[in-house]
Amino acid sequence: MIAPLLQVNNLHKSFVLHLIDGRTIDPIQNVSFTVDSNQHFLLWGRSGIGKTSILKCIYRSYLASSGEIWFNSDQFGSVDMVQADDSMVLKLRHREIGYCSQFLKVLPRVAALDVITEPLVRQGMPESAAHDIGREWLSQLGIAQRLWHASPVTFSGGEQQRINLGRAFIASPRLLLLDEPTASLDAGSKQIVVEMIQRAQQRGTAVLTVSHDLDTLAKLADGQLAL
Amino acid sequence: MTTPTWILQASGLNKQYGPGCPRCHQFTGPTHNNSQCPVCNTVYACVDAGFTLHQGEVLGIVGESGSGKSTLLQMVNLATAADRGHIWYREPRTPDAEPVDLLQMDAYRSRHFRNDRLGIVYQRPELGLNMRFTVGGNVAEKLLLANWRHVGNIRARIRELMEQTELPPERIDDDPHTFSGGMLQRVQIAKALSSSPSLLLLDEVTSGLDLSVQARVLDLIRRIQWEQQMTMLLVSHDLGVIKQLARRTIVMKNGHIVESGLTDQILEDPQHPYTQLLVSSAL
Repeated sequence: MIAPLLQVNNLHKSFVLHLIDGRTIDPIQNVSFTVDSNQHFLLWGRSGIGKTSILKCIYRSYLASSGEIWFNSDQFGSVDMVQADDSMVLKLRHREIGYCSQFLKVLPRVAALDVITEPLVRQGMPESAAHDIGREWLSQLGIAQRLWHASPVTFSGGEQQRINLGRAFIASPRLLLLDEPTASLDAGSKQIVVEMIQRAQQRGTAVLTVSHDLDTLAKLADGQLAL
Repeated sequence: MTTPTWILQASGLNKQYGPGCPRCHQFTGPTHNNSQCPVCNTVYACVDAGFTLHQGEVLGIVGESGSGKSTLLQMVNLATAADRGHIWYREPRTPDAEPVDLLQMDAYRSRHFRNDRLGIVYQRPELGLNMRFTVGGNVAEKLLLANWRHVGNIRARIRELMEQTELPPERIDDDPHTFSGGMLQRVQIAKALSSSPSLLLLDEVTSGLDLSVQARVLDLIRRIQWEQQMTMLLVSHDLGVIKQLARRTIVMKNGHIVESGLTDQILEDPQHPYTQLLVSSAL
């Protein structure tokens, strides 16, 4: 039997707010699910229920309070993202796990072409080859050519989100975590996202999406969990 | 078995100023928000600090003034003698060689190590540069200490470094007083890089510079780090600087490391009360 790519067991996350009398918030309690290779798995539920927190625990931007998050790495075998040391997490982020936040956060002096190709260059691809691929992606994402050398901070919300998604997809990680990928997008741009997810799956990427846009994304999902 | 990729592993580093007394531990440390014992006046600048630095990574050290971050950096720079502890160094050019404890080296080897393998950039240019020397003379000083002898080669290397750090090479013989603050930081960076060190130490390098100059210096450091895969230890009280450059960060308070982790985790999910305060205070 093939092990799932991602297996989350009894995940629990508490935030202790030391600056507010040590108050505790528990957005995630006993969440379990599995994601297989090439699968598109959808986590959905109302705002504030902890969807993004789950993604951040998997990516280790948040420290899980208890539970297990087993990632089946190509290079390192089964790794529990809850217990893995920081260096291991960085290696997995570098090659195998991608994350796309809800909003693009970039330096205001870096051009869109450099933003979108950064993951390729970080993986060691020569800049000129990365830029060739980047130009294709920007074109497919419907970003006007005159904007390619401008910083995305000057772009509209929809354009920024497309750049954000392009940057996440371009390096074809084995697992891609998407946080509300269709928020702030018009119908045409949503269709671009749908096609990007489908193409990523064809390239062998499993996609874990959190969203409340069920109209667009539920029909794409081959597994889902309501929170 | 794969070769470990760390180049520096520090453990149990301690530095105190004063004799210490049996009651020090009752009054000092992060829980008491105090680094100085009120009984014997001993200052605990660094207590049992340890970290691992991997080849090609940037490790950030954050904390308020007096938290011990610069003391920790200066112990690695072998400029401040640690009272106890170890700093194991593995030469990246010979990764199979046995690591050496920098704190156990004799004075000669220690001086050679500082000149050849370390580079440091300070917040204040006058700490890293001799303001009576020319710009080229400052960079040449480090090259001479690293056993460069041929004047033509030295000047060629300085010009190369000035280009690399976006300084006009034709100003090699100029007085540093005629340079702006941002340019002086770049001279310090050129000097620090001159001997092709394996570790670059950065101590509040952008503090005191205006925003546009800060951005240029940070962009330069990021470019150098990327192009040369330079290993860096970066001290700053500015979380924005840490966020831009460091992938892992340690947080210090009252001489103690109170938290360490991935930089995004430190910023988004800080665990220690002090780190939460630090993050919530960011502008």
